[in-house]
Amino acid sequence: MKKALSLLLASFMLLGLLAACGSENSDGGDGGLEDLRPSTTPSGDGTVAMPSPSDTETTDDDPDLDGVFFKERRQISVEVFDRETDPGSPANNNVYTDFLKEKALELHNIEITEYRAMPRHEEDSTIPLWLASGTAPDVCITYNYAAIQEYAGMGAVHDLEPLVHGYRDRLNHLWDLFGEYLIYYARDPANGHIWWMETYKADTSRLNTFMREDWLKTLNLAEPNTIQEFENVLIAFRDNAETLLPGNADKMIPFQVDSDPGWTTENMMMAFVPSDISMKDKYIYGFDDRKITWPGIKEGVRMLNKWYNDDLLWNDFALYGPGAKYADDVKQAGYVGAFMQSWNYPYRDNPSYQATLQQQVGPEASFIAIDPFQNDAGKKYKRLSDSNDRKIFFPTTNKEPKASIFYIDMLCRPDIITYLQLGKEGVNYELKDGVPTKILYEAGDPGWDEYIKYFINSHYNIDLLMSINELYEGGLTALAQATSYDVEPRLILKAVECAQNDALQTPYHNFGTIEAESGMMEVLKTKRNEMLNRSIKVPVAEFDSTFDAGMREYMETGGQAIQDERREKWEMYME
Amino acid sequence: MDWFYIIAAGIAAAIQIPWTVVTIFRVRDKKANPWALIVIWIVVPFLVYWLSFILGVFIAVFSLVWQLLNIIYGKKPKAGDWMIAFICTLIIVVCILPLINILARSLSDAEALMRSEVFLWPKGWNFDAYKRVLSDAKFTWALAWTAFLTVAGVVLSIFITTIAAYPLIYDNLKGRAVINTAIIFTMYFGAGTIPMYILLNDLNMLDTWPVLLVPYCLSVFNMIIMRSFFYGIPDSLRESAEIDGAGPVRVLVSIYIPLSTSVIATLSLFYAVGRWNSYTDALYFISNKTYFPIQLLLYNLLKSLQSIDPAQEVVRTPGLSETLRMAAVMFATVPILLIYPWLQRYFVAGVTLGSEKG
Repeated sequence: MKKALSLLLASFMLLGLLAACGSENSDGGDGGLEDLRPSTTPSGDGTVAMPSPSDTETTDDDPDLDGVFFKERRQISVEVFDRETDPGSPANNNVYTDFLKEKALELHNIEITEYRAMPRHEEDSTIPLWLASGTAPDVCITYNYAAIQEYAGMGAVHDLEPLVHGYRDRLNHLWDLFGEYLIYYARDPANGHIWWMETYKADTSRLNTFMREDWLKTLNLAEPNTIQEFENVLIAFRDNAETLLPGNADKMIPFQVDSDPGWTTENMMMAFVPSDISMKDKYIYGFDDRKITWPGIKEGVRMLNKWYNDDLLWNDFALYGPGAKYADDVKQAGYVGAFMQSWNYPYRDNPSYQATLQQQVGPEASFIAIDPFQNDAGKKYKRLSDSNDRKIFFPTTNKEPKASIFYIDMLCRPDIITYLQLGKEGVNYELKDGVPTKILYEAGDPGWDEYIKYFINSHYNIDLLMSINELYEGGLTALAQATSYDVEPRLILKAVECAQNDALQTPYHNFGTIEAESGMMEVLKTKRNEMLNRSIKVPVAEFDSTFDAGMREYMETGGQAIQDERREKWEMYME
Repeated sequence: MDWFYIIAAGIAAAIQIPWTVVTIFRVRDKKANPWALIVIWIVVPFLVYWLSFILGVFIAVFSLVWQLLNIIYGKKPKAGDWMIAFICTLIIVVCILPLINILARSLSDAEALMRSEVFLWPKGWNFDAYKRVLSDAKFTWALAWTAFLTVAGVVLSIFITTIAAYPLIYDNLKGRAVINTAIIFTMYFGAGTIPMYILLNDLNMLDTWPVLLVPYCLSVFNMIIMRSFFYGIPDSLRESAEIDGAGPVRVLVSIYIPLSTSVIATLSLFYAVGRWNSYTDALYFISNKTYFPIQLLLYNLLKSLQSIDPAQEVVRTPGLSETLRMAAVMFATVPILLIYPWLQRYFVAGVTLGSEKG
């Protein structure tokens, strides 16, 4: 008996250990937006299924308010992501938080008692902790839509509907910036609740294909303009490895993809999707964030399989996932001929990959954006992101939801946006012909201390600004964006042009939760990547059987159920 | 490197082919399971190809251990000694390789790292990363703070563990079984992070430094070791002290503690390593960066550079270079490694003593 009991206890302990390991893993994930948002999918070009706002009474005669100014001082606390920027200033206490505190007092008589810093990489575990314990700041922001939804179901989150609608005429900046599209984006079609507000993504560019400009020059090749030409260039890279990488020819990677090939070849895959695909099909088959079940994708994968067998793809691609350091190292070391990534990938860091490449290989080395993938209609169709970004919500422990919404409105004011995004003139940027241009510093330069004081800890200050991700276009041009990088502006302009050329945004259909998707997306994502990796790596003759078997398994695991439910929803709401 | 793989393939074939033939016969005679064949063709190539690249290091360490064993025993080794040497070497290699790799990376220049040229020997030797880490007040303060936490934590934990374990050895303690069960229950069933967070919030302990010491100061597992050790001390010693008029506290201080130095040293090591390496409590319960232990600093440093889903954010912020991060890892790891040799001699005795009584 005693033995049995101790065995039982020991197994509990082991289980506990295993569970701890498991949870650590799941905490580690960054939880991509698209995985978390099961019902985000493209729909009709332009037509958006949007429930009409309810008839909440507007509150013109609120006794607490004098216009947008509170008669009595209100106190709120605000969350801010901490990215451990180095160099940088404390995320929750710097010149920009001081600025916002001052402005909130001046404009609305709101006192910000605290900016609560939270490590960016811990949001998935910290937000539930705060909500469960009732210790969350009054204004919270996260990508973790699932957590808000879960806690909203338990009554821990304020409904924003009465606020945004009730004070509509006083929240001009908020309505101007977000518009009905974002404000009603997350509105529950069944009961009209708005548990969170989607913030604005100013730049919807997604992916670009990058190629070594200097290699093209060395081999006297033109930039490819079709898939065939792209393939020819890859072949030329492979065959001239000794010329391009003297002494390191065996390290040549003509085209680098990674173990998430749906992402690192997306623009190419889109060229295989028939140009006449209907919106209904896009919606029904488009639940996967890489759109793997859209028609035509199989032919794209077949091309990758052929390239892999012709030694045009990175041999080790299946070993390295998104963001693997090694995959980026070989790009910077100069071994990669072409790759596909976020539209500004080689230019955006500090130092940028471009700069490191030049330092390692020589000043002539350069990545340039190209746009070779044409579809059957000769268009270079590529997907744009939706215009929504992070989600702002107020926990019910917030006793000042009204003040909080006016704080958000303040963050949508163009003057505040501009100041937070660009920083101080003369320190962070200077105006050249009316275009704000980033001033670059090296440690120890004159003005370094001032620069650190005004250091913008996050990309265009998105963490404090909350309302916008990427540069606000109000009055600024692509050139302003181009000059905010530390590489030649022409490269940025080319990248913007390529990323936006023939690109389409696919608006969001809010048909409520798709039950079949809940809890399945992560599993399906893993299955999808496995299936793609296997299909790319088999000999050409085995491609069809491998891909079909993988796809069958993927559909049986849950893909089919999701498609069926989506078809049902589409027919219910749209037909 | 082609020759290397050819040799590896030769070794694999030399093992696999005869083994396969023998196994086929054994399968036919129903002496072996057909699955054995699959194992041979999966396990052997795996071992030969994947592990062969550490073979060189392995052989070097092996010969070293071998020499040491010869010196220590001063006799001709037997087959059993070979086995011991082999297993020791394997464990040493597995433990030490990552550490050497990190050391080599921290001493190399960033470009060599980017070209993936550094494995066990630094390329482009320099100590810049260490200079920078050592001159960064954030790191040195965190190190000092963690050292304080470790020392204070060990003292507190040993005190609590001792006074929790001691009464449980008295047979005449009323409700001993209940107390025992209640304590042990907490070892198997925990409420989880959120209830803990709520509790600490209600106790107003969040974001105060004692939160890093108090909540986890008693490890039930360690307390059981201590209790078992106390059981091992003969009752007659206690009784003789009691006859001389000593009360329970006097018995503890004069008899039990002096006789328990080895277990105290061992548990101190457990607690010290635990406190030094843990960061989750600080991660959740502390937001004031002054109180961040070094491991949390390190965790944030390494984690913040992990890629964010590119579809989510095209933002990345400047972080420390790879060399610098590796130097920080060394900086945080080495101090705790240094205490091992000092406590080593108590270690084996402490862990095994008291193990016969349960």
